[in-house]
Amino acid sequence: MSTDRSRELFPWQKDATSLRAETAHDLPTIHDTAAALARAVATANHPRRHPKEKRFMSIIKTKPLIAAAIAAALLLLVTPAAYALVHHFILDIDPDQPAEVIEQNVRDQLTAAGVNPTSVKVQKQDDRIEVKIRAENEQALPELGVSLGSDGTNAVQARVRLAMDPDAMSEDDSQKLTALLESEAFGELLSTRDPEMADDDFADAIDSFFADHGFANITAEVSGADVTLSAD
Amino acid sequence: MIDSTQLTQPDQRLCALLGPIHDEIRALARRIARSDADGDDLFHEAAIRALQKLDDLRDDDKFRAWFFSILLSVHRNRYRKSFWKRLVPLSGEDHEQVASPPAVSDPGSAERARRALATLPPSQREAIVLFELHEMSIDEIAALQGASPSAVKSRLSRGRKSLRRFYRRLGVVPATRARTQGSAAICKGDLS
Repeated sequence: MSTDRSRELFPWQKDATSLRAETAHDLPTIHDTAAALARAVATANHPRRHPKEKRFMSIIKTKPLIAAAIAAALLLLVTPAAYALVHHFILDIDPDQPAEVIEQNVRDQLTAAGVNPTSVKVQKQDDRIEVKIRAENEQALPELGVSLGSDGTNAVQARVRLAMDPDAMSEDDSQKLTALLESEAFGELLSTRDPEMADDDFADAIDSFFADHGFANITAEVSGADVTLSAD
Repeated sequence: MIDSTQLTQPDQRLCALLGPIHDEIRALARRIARSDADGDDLFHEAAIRALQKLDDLRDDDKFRAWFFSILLSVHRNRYRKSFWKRLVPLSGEDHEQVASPPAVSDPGSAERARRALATLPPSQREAIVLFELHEMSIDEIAALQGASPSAVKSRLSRGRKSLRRFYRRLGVVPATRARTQGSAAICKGDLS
């Protein structure tokens, strides 16, 4: 793999040059920084700009009642740069219920929250529950938290977005890919990730998975629980 | 001008160490964030974290790398906590947060670069910015990111591929040419 800088060839060079100039313009001075530090020390209270975010995370952290491994996969078909609204949503799942009841409950909760999933599939196997939620527009993408009704330890979530040009793949291939995304094998791959595995290494593993199943053009990008798949 | 009597001894030490690299690291924070305002916020959080850990820094000569690492760590932590924040707004509601650009800059062009970078995971975005805008070496970036040089190369390659995809979607790179050239062009950084 070449890492030749090749700045003169890089097509976004003009944009990068503009960004470099803009972000170096009107910088606060070291005195501004010193003043900000003095204020922070004086109040011992660094103000956060996103208190709602903190509250949301606190809610997740105070819900340790996780009974089973959960793989919640959201499969999105999005159009170019159509990233827009995302909202937060916490699913309540009773792991003691049969799969079909959980499935209906999840669907009802999502519908009540204004999310209209294309499909909801729940599989139970031993101590593992897998919830797959598929939607086909960006507005239907919630950031999911999961609340379970009994004690447990292992919870795994993955948000999978399929970002591709609508015409980049034939309808036949698109259907095969959808089936692969909804397969047990892919769910297993997502939910059995070693917590120590780096995002890039996991992305490589996902690339290999798709290449092994005939989709060598699929590229994964991984950031924590978020997996974005793109097709060249 | 700040009144130095307001600063504690650790504050003064931090400001003295920060002075020579202040503008560089302020600019880096803005470049890896979604907006100048987010970048300034990121920098402040990193500065406060650095102040809290300043006693751990034994060798002042290593301050630059130490502070860079803290900034990148804070950046990734903030990103993990807010999946939704990295999504690119379509309405341009963040535009007003961007400082008025200098005459040599094309604000639309800079904003496009921000949007392109915002599509990357944080580790790739950092690698691209440090390599392309700050002209750091692979080894330097690896040290700052706490990763191997091969991991950094992978991040650069993946990041460039994603940038190419972004520009292709905008119509900047003709789809037919980009597809036929494949990954070889990406590795060379030639997306045009």
